[in-house]
Amino acid sequence: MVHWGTAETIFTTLGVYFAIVLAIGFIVEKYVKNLADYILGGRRLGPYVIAFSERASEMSGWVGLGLPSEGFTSGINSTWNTIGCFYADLMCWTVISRRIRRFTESVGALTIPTYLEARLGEDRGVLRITSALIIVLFLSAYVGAQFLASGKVFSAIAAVSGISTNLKLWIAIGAIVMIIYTVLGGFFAVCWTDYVQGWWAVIGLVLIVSAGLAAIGGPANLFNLMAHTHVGKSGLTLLSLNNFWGYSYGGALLLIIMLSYIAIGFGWPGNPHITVRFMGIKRPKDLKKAALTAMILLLVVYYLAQSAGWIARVTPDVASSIKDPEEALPMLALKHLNPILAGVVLAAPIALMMSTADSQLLVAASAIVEDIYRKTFKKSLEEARLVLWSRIVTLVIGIAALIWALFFGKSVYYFVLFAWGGLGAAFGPIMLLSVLWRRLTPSAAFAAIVTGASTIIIWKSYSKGWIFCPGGNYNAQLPLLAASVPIIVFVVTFIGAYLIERDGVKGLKAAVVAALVTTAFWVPWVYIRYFVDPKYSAWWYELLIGFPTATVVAIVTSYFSTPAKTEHVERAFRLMETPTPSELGEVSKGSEVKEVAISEIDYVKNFVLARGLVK
Amino acid sequence: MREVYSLIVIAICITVIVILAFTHIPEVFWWGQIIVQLIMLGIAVDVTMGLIKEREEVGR
Repeated sequence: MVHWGTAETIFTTLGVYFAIVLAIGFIVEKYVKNLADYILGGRRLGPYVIAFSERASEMSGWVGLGLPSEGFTSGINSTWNTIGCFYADLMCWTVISRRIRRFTESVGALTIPTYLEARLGEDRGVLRITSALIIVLFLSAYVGAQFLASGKVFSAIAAVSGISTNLKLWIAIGAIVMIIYTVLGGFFAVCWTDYVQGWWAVIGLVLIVSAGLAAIGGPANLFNLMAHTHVGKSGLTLLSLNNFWGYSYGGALLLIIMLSYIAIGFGWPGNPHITVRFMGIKRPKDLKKAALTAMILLLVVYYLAQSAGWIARVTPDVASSIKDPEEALPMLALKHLNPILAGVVLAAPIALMMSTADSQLLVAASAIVEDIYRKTFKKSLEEARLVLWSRIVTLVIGIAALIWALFFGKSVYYFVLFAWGGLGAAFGPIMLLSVLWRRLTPSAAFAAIVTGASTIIIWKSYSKGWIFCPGGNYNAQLPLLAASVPIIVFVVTFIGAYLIERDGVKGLKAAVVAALVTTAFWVPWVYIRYFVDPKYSAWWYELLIGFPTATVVAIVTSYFSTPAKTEHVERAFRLMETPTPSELGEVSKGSEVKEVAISEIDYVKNFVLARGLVK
Repeated sequence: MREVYSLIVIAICITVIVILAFTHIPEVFWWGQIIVQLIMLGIAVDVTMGLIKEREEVGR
């Protein structure tokens, strides 16, 4: 138990943290002059701020609380999180970042839905509006889950400090601070607070891991203690490579769990609050610095976070006082650090949650204002009014997420993994294919979005026992489960492809192909789970099936639907490789390259301007 | 094509790490995955360095 004086000190430290992020919001508010500033910081941010923002936007409560919890229960196997996430982030930086940065600047696209529309040459708004609605749906749940998670951390600290443990009060305090600075400063505020929050998390984790290692006799002794720390009931230790959550797995199930962890990485290219960061960097050539900074930051934070869980488990007085594994990091801090440093450490997971929620809130607001409102209804609003509308929408979504967290939110990680998987499966395949493969068609992209989103929603609902699981029996309605996703894909793809192609037969052809491909993946997945794991005891993460299925749907359906004009696609790809207008300022005047690049940019700009795709 | 190569290398690296895990020797898995990741970071540097070289060539 911490005494009241100690609790005061901890909460004062947390108050300093809040004051810093709020101050950033008020300071950068004056730099927001137009919609591009609010949504994308006017593409004026440097490599280190962008790198920290990209990392902090991803490293939510999942890393701040979830990874220490994984380390606490599964020991060395928590490393699988890091492995999947490392390679996925590396792939995004090397494959996607430069191409979408250059392309979106050249055509003036500010959001991912607009990027997809301009790249694929789809001019009826079907792809853009569908993408925007899916983004708002998943990200709103994600934001609410982050509010809930930060409230739980506050509440846990308050509980051991003897202060009010009213969860709703603490949820509201964290959410209101975050909403204020996001509404005021937009992308500028989000990125700069991410920068501060990223450093805060690194410092906090270094502090707690250093103190914890010192208490157990240094790093050399950590593996030794882990090898002798038993978990579960079957002689497993923290170093057993078949130990997940204290249960022993072998053979096929072990492989499924490992692959499920790696599959978390599939979410990277599709989560817009991460990929939009690439579009905000000032100079594309700085992507090298940004990529290296982000990757090193990822390794440092992930390894430190899982180590905190290991240390908590091998330290007897800490382990014995932990009731919920997610208390591993807070308990370690309260046991080993003085109140000021404990406050710094305890603010780290809150910082990670807030830095994720603010990014998601901004992306959800931009999807409504830029992709739906401005392009569909009011194409010629003044910039000042657009910024005002963006702020209002940000506020409304923030309040809606807060209400959800206060009155309906129960499980944080259910919604985090649900939203992460939904966005990853819906948009990940087409983000990758759009920069690598010329043949991708608008109808195929639509089919892939539908396939990815429906796969995630159905499997997650089934896993929770909400559908196709009468009386808790997972095997009772397998034929219905197997038929569900292909039917959804067929119906929705037909409607979307019909609107895109303006031809019922072509729409039907795309829908049939997408449904057949989905069946070829989904049905074996359903029955392999049944034969390999009849009791459904292991973790079968929905992204493991959603991402590959949507990828193959996109590829195969592309061959059965109408592509954009070859000239448009070729020029779009040249734009991804061509220096942007801002880069051209660095190329010598009158060079042949500059003239060619300007010609390419003009062509695509005229194309999208003629169709009202971008302003 | 440079990006496609990096995707192939990433897939190979993950396969190697899964194989290391199936040795069931924690130290081999732990140090193996760190070494493979550091090598991959080196390759990433090369890829991003390559982007800059490419741009400089375009500039010339």
